[in-house]
Amino acid sequence: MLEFDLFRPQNLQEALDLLAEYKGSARVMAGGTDLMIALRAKKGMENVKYIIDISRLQELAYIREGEGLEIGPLATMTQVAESPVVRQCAGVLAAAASTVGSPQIRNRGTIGGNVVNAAVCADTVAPLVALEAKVKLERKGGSRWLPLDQFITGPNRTQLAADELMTGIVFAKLPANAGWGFMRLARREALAIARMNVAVVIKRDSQGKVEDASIVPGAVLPRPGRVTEAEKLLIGTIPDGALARRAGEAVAEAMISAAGRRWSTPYKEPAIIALTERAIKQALEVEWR
Amino acid sequence: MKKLPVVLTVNGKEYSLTVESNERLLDTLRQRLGLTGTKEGCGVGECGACSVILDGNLVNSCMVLTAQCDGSRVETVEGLGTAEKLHPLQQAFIDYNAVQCGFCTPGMLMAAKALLDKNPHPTEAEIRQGLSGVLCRCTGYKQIVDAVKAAAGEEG
Repeated sequence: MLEFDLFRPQNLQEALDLLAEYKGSARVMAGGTDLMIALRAKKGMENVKYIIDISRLQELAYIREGEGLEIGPLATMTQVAESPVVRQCAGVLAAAASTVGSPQIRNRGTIGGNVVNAAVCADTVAPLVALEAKVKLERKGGSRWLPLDQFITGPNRTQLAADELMTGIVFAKLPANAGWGFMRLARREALAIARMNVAVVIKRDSQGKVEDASIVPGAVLPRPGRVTEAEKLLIGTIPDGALARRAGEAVAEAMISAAGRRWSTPYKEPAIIALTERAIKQALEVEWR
Repeated sequence: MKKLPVVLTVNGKEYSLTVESNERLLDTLRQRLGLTGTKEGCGVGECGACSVILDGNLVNSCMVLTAQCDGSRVETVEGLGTAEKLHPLQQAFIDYNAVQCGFCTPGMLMAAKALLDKNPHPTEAEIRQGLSGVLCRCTGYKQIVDAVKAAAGEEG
């Protein structure tokens, strides 16, 4: 285990003061489910001398309804998955949070940690991008908001400055005419990191015609984002199974054009097509099996 | 390395400790308090052998710093029952032959206890999900699920 000095700030202001003072030589610990592994392996921790434990800052553990839904970074995966308001107004996010790791990991791991760590396989990122979430970044004496898909710039890379803390995630509640789907592929059903996942949100008019669609694959693009080519196929239509599949093919094309054809492509291409097709069917409330 | 004061209540007994900044809860339990029932398997949160109940929630004690737990309540397998009077889960594990090599057993027992504390009458699917964070490399899952089911019936 890496040697470090631990700080236990009692409130957000103390945490921001510590970050302002120690910047790049400090890392923030929330649930610790990613950071403890890195500290144990001493990987990517070359300049780290201080750990700032924010896990007890209850003021950052909220889930509340404002204009939209506001989730504090310290809400655990369990809290997000079980929250009645998240399940009702952003079911795609609750579903994704419920698939992370194991009960032990979900009780400790936080949504803020999942987002800030920015692993390509982070299960809550695809649904949050599909929900067009924005994140609040605070530093001593200032704050800013960024759309989540701009905040994450690449695998494990974000725009978070060394003295900033993510303090909120906000998105609009899904309206009554929205359906959602979340599909995930991993080597097992529990305790397994997603090989790929996909989040879908589809809004339809009273005739069942698609007004708007968000299709966001995870772990297949270098940074999270919507696949507009796939979304366009659905908009203005009453989609059937064949169209859902074509949208899946458009996601596979986006993956291949971003990453090229690799040794894993013969496996990933049909897998992401099927996952997307199923997530679209789930969003349309069509039986996909 | 900075040392930090921590007050922990473990299995109902209060301890005032001074711990290293990077000390894991798992190491505090095993090495400082001599509670070696909690096992270290993988050390990276993937096997669940080190599972304990922290303030009512099941956690991997290898992924928690002791200094993060000031004022917390910790339950370990040692707190479950006594040699004279076993906890219903312990008795059920014996009755259903739910122990093979035994290394995962403390984690399985704590996962089962955390589940039954919140959901005294789980379905089989809920039991399987409740135990899903603990790996049994002997693969004796069937007996373990049956034991938890039996204990739930008894407690109800």
